[in-house]
Amino acid sequence: MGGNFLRIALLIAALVAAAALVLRWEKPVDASTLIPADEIHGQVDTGDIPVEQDLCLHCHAYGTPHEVWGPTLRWLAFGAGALVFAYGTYRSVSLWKGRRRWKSFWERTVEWLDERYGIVEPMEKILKKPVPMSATRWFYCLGGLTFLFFLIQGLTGIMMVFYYEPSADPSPTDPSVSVAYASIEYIMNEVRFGNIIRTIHHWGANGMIVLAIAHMIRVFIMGAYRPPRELNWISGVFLLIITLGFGFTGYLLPWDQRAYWATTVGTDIAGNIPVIGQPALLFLRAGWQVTGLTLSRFFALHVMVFPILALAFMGLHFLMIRRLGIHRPL
Amino acid sequence: MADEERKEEEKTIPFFPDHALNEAKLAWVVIMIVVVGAIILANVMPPTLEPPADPYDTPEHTKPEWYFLFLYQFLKYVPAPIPGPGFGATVPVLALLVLMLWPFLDLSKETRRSQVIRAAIVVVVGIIVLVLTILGATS
Repeated sequence: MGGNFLRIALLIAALVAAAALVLRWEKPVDASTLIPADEIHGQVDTGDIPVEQDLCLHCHAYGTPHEVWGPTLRWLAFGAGALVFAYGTYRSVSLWKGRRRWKSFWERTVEWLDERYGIVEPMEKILKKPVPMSATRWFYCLGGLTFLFFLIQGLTGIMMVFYYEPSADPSPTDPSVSVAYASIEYIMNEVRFGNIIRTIHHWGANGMIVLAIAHMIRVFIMGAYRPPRELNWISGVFLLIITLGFGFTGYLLPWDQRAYWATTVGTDIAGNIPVIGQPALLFLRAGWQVTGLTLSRFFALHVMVFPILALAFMGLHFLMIRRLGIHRPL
Repeated sequence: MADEERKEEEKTIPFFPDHALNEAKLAWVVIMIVVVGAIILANVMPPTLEPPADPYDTPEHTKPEWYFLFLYQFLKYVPAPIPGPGFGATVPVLALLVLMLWPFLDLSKETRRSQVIRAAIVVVVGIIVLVLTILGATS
């Protein structure tokens, strides 16, 4: 009991000391001692970036009164943690001739979790599953690569959805273009690495479709759709439809001429399918014409509906593969 | 079942770390190709923004994305035994249904010959789709 009390008291004392240290060194500075931003701009060339956004100078510019100890302490604290972590990993893999075997942080964490949740046994089953050598040929990678491209698209998509605005209203800064168009121009020109992110997303979309079709051709030729794998094939075709749906809905989002008219033509063709065509056209366009409401709908489909469907069908697809194993070739 | 017999004979490697490392290395190479390719392409041939959308100005050549071009071209060629545009739009839907239900339509045994036949189907369909796509892009 006394030992416990001591441990808690020491922890609280350490936290208070750390807080005091940070608060004392992070106290706001008298703004009159700072150099105004435009003077710094005259003295230091930061290129296109205003001084306030420069990585190093922003703390010294007028209007952002912080001292330098904040970042210094941050680097020291995280650096110390990283060094401790690296040391432990090094010790756990090097020859250790002491009495008790050294356990790295990884190992301790897994043991801690295993005592509570029993994760080691199912993980062993998953991780040690034998992979037949025939499944290590290059064309067995196409499905996994499609999934990798899905992740890349998701990541670049999230980065862009932070800046993209799905509105066809005229932009206040440039009324000749829509808000959506202006936001994509902003991503391409102002956002750091924005043009690279958009390029990855553009080519990743094409690449994912190519890989999905290649994967489908591989499965088709090798007859891996035969019983008991029929549902796997069907979920795969649904995934192909979802991928094409991603492409179709994403294509409208820039709201430029190409996007607008390709969508008009595409939904026109869909509308010509007998029986279900007209409701399909009305559902896709949110009306009879392609309008700003259509843009909102396509955005919702692209960012919410199709991702959820994709994750659901991918989950089924992967679970079924795990359960049935890889199809053995002739 | 024959599957399990073959499972015992065939050489296997453990998923972790052997195959997982294989996949990780491949994934890393692919990511590097994508990122470096994008950095190069972003400067050489960036994804464009055409003039902003104008509902009153139909451009002369409006085309869908390349992966829909073969459909687009096909729709121009299909004769309509049933008058009206519905037939051309229905054929792709039917093709998709055939594709989805293929495991129930293909009841043959798995032999080398059936694989060769299927490879031939892929090649023929692939050539048709390729030709339609090129025609769709150029016309």
